[in-house]
Amino acid sequence: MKHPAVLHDPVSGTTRRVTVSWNSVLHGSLHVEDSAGASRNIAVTDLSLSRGGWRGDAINFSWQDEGQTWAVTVDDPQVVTQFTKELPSHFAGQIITWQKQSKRGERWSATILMIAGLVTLLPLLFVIMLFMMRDRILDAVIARMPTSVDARIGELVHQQLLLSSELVKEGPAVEAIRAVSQRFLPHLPKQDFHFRFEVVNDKSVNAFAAPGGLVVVHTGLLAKATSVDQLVGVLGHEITHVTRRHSLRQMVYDLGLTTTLRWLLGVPDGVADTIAGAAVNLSGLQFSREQETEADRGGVELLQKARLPATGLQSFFEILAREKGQVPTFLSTHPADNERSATLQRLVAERGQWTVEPLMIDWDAVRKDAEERMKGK
Amino acid sequence: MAQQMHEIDYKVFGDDMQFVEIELDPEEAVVAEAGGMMYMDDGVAMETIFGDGRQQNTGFFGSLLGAGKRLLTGESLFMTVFINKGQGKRRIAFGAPYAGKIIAVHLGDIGGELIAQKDSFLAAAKGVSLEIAFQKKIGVGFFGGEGFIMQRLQGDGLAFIHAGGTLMERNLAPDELIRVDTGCLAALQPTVNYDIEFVGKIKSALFGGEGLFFATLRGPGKVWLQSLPLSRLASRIYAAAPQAGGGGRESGSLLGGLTGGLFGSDE
Repeated sequence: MKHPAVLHDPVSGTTRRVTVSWNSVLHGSLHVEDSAGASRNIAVTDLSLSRGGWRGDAINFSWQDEGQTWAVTVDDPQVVTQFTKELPSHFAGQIITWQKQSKRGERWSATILMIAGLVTLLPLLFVIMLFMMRDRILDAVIARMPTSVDARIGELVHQQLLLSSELVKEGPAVEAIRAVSQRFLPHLPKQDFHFRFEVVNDKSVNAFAAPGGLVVVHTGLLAKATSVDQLVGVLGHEITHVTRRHSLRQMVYDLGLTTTLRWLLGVPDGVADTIAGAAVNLSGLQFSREQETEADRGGVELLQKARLPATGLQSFFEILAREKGQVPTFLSTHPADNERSATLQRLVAERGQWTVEPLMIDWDAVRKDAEERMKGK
Repeated sequence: MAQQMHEIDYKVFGDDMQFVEIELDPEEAVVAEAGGMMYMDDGVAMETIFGDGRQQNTGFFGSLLGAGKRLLTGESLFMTVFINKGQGKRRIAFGAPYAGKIIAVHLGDIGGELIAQKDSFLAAAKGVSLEIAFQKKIGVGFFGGEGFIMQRLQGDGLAFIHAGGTLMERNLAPDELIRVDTGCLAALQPTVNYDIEFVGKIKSALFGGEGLFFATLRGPGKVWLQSLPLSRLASRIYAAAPQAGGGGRESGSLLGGLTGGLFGSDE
């Protein structure tokens, strides 16, 4: 069988393509044939074999002819393997030994390169690991932060609120909130949080919770809700944000992500902050969606403990969903409406049935009160 | 090799900062690294291609793969094909990027294949393929001076490669061995065995100034050696720069002349 090879011609100083084959007649000889058809036979006794090729995986046969050294090189490793099968055993054995050596060397190379690659990628892997373990890390960090931190942040929010907003201090709306909060309070952790409920005269349909226990409801929301159950549902959700310390979690998460990215990217602070800011926004959306779902679940639990109806939150969302262009700010990071309704339904169903002790509140009076106040704005 | 190679005539100009002028017959073409062109006659059309001009028919992914490999060797993703669209002969020239020599290698004379250090390719007849070749031996990859990635030029036509300083072509007889400074290998025929060898003694390794390893080249086949690797030139220039504490002295300055003469490390 003919195999491609190159012939080193010492007379012309050139190298040209030829074919080689093993001729086993007599003691055997190497048959070299070039493209023009010229051929020669070199007896086995005149041949010497050596290892060659720039990667060490080729073989050379060389011989003397009129005082000059000629050689052929077979440099395709696959061709070498095929050709080896046809060669006499003393050549074949030698080649197989070389091939084993090369293979071992290559395996070494691959291992070392892989290790080098891993070491290079280590920081990245570390960050991926951090990201995958973020919930557990956050839990651990948050658990180590005393609730006085929450209280201090809450106090700042409260002061800001006093300065910038008009608090409603009396009237049916405030009484309603107070009555509802009385139902919740026995089931809330008192030593860790100091719950306060405030009504703010603001047209936007919103309610929010600050760390430490400040829960704020806008009059816009009170006017929009069609029953007290809906208010109860929203409050259950917001209270859970406080007890699960979601705001603090979010802050720690943002800070951690920014710091990690700054370290990983190793770029000037301004640039890193811009990149990190974008990353925080992107992952933050996902993060807060998780928190919203958690708050929904916790809210339903709380409602069950307080023996309050759990259908309010869902029906409130449905009202909001029906009104176009009025996506309240506290909903903007929420899971899609339909999906959320379904999730809420499932969450309520999971808790089973419970006896509801209804709230005795004249809801129409509350709405009227809220609407009256907003007119003044 | 069923490919149609373009036969081209050329002339190299200059001493240490060379350029090569190539004469193209009508419809003849050369491929070149994007950015290497110096001048061309009217009638030479230029076309930028993705890849090396050989795999024109391997489809989108084929050329994308080729381009990705080119990115690995540190070259631009694109190459430029210059075709003589005029009547009669037209000329085009390519300049070397730094001090050194341009050599023309007739791939047909060396068995159709050449392994060169990356970045050394300047131009070639259309039909010569250019791809990367990975060094599989870890020691050679790390200490051989050329890294793990080299360029493989295949075909039967002329290829122009460029390297630093003066280029020397040497035809090694079978089993003839030379030891080379690891930076000085510019190109080799793939039949040449390329390996590394520890300099021999710890004392030489530390104080001999030749590094820890030599590259060993064993025949049969041709090797091209460069006398001044670009990195060596660059480190000297950098060391002489005022920003790097090189003093930046002018020969006219008395103080500079004195300190230069007495304490200077100018070799």
